Amino acid sequence: MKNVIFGLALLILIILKIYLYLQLGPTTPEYLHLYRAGSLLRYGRDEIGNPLPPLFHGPTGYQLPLLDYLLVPVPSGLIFDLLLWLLPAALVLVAFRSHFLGLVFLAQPLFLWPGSWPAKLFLFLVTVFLLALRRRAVLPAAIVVLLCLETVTDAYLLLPLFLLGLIFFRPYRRFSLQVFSITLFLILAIGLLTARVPGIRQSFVAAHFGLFTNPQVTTTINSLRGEHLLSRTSYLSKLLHNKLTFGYIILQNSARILNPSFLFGLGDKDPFSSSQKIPPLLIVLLPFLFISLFHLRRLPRPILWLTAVSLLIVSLPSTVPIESQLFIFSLSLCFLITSHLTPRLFLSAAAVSLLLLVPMVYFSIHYLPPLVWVARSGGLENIIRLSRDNSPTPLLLADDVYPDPGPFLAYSMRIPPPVNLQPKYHYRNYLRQVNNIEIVSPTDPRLTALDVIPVVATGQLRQYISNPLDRWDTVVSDPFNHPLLSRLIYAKPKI
Amino acid sequence: MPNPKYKFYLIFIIVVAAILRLFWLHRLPVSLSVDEVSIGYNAYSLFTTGRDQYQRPLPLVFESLGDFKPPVYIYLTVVSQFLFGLTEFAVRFPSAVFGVLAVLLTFMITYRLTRRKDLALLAGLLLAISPWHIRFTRGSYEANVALVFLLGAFYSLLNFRRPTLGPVLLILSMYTYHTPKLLAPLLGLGMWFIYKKSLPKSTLLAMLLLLPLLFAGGQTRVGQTLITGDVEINTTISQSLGQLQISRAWLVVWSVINRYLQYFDPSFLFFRGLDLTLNQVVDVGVAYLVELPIFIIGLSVVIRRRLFPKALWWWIIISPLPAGLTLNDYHPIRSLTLVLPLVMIITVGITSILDRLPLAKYLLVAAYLANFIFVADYYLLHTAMQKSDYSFDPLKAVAISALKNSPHYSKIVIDPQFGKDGPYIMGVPDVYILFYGRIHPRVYWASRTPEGFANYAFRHIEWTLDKAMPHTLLIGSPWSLPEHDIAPSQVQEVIRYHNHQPAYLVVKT
Repeated sequence: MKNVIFGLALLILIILKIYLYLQLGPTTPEYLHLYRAGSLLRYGRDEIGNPLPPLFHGPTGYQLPLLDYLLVPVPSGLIFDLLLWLLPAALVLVAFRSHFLGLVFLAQPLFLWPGSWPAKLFLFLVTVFLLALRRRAVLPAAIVVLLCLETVTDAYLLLPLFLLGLIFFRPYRRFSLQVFSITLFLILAIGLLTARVPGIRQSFVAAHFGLFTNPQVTTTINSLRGEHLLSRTSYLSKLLHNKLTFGYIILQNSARILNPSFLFGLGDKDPFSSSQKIPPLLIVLLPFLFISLFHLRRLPRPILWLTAVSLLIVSLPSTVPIESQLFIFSLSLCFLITSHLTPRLFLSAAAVSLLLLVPMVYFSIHYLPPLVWVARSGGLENIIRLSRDNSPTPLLLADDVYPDPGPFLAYSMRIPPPVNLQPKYHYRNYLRQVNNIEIVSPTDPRLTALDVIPVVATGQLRQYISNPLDRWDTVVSDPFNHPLLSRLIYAKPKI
Repeated sequence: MPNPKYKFYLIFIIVVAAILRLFWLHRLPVSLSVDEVSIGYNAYSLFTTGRDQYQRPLPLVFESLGDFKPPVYIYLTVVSQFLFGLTEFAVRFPSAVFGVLAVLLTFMITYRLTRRKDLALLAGLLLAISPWHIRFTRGSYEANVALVFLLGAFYSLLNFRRPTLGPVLLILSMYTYHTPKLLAPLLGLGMWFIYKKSLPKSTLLAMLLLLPLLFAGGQTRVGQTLITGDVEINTTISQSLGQLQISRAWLVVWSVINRYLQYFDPSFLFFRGLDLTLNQVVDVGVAYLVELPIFIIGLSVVIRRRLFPKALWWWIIISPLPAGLTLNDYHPIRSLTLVLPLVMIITVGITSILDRLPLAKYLLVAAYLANFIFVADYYLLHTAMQKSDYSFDPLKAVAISALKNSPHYSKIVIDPQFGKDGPYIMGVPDVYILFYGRIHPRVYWASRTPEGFANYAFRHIEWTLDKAMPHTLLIGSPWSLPEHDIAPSQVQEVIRYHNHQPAYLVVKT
């Protein structure tokens, strides 16, 4: 009977997941993956015309290829999103024989929310790796390690830490030789993979060690050394404020992810983070986490190992919170929370399921979708319709409401990729021109031309209209009917 | 306490606490805040006339600058001014003395809970050197005095033989600062439920009688600071969640939970909670960084060995509640009561380290010393410099300049608005003049004018009009006194911020 309850809860969660995906769709980076996969399938080349490349060009650097190649045979983003959500849960459920763990895992906002595909794929591979380790299957574990290295650059740092943790904590007895051999294999693999393209090293260093080149930090240190003290320059300040400050900031950044208001409250405040205003974990689990900490001593050794390693992982010197770290950390918290709290009776199972589902349903259906509607490219289909109705007249879209609409437009309009563009790294330029839609700066002078269709932020209309006879039509309104984008219709030629 | 060695240690800790709180009290922080000046002059007015600045006799709620202040701190300042006169030291003295008292009470509470004098002494020492506690005992912060009353009440309720003192101290705390208006009833009722077998029923009755005091004054302040006034929340509500009432309620509750949880954020506790710098790339936590690993060890020991009584857990749970219900992220003053459990967890951590590694004490002392110097460097040098542009530093010099020039001019006009990036700071130079001029309240009341008092006027300076006024001294920021239009001979003085940037010009017409 308990399993029926869990099954029902799972069914509700699946419906919720599908609803969320249909309501919101993926994030901008995921649209890029989808478009790229479609392009590889249809034309055998990526979005900038490279035939079956070993690395892709992303908006902020190189992107590792596994995700995109895995996405090629998948018919839709929804199925891929569902698979990335369900498969790790199924694996932990099998590995740890806990339905409850699977349910807690699936019900968390971080995992349920559509998007974050590279991090979710990495998490899935890590769960496969855990299962392989549990079954002492060295070869599959080594293969998974290799696959992980083709998923996200974070893996180059996180995986060695995992294996170090294995050697240090020894969660599985009589296993050190196998772990040692996997570690050796990993070192070799990392060496070989990073040697092939310098871009990996670049992306990796920028993502994980960007702190050391951050000018704001250097300015702060100089200021503390005495620049702002004027005549009162202190030798003590010079002694105290030096390169060690970087270590201080690294520690400070690590502490960020342990912030309960981030984990259970309003999530990340960074507007560019995909987990903005979404707490990774449900607040209802907080008391259970305390209970688990209370019984920390009785926790199984593998869970302690995973928790310790994930704590180590979040202490990396990154300048921005890295999603893969957060996913691994949240997974370990799910393990911690459920380790002592497996409901055995029908009633307790029903109560726990309700506790997980009710906030999640409200949270997902009512609270968050309107908040991220713009960030998830909501309403951009109206732009496509407008451009098709007026084709081939160029449509100029000012980019102050949707900062990066290119991937969505390219995916939705299914435009063919160019043939081997030169130079290769000009992703931004390429996806700013999709058929007859061009994404332009709000100050672009062409927005006042007569032979184009200018679409601008409704809130900024005043700066484009000087003639009282000029008109505008609302093209996109948000879910609460607030106009967002308007088409300018000029009455007479501008001089 | 028969062992004289412990007595000596306790006295040593009290002396350390007193030195850290009383030394250079008039110079650090570098200038009196608007609240401190207001408290000081109200106390002076009470001391000399029995009425507050607004002529109300012995009030229980003091009208302040835009809000209403609870009375206890101001009455304590009266006593302090009786001893030291109307000085900067006298205004801050009650806070510093209560800071030392808090150290003693922490010692007593820890001893009551553990029956171990070494632990109690360590807890006292840790509070004595706590950057959180030192910072807010070196200024006229009512929160610090309220903390002492709450600690006293806590000790009294733990010590079942004298439980009646508890409710009295809780009431006092509610008349000292705004956060105990919520904390005190919760603490009292919680303690009664935890120890109801030991505490007499009359204690519960006394606790219940506390509830009406929730509404005794200070509503204006509560209204101003309640989370429902948060700009970000209201923007979110108006932009996207305006359709349903339930959404508003949900968002407010969610934000309260979020803000409540912020006070358990390791970044707040160990990296940037003390808010000593402007940009916060690097800052100082409310606890020393060196205490981070000790805190983790201490917390795990406390949880594993179940060392804390329920009452202390209750204290931890309710402490961030008032801060969670109000505006501002990470407010170290509203959450000051958390300093007690923080110190106790670190005490447990240090003890468990020393139990296993006795020699670690040398390492710990060195680490604490290094960290203390690090924090002192921020507090003594950088804070005043970095925050200078946004502080009320120049107002003392403005007051002194105005007082010095007062006999020589028929009118002195002072512009209360100033600031580095624009005239965004609204000062109260009138109260500073009253304070530093030691102007008797009766003289002040008798000489009040629509623009100020005596020959002082406090209003925006309109240079194009005011420059034609005869025999007048204008004291204003460069935003209201255009330097290009003023002859150098007209400029009597340039008043600067602590970081030497010009803040005010003193110009004769």
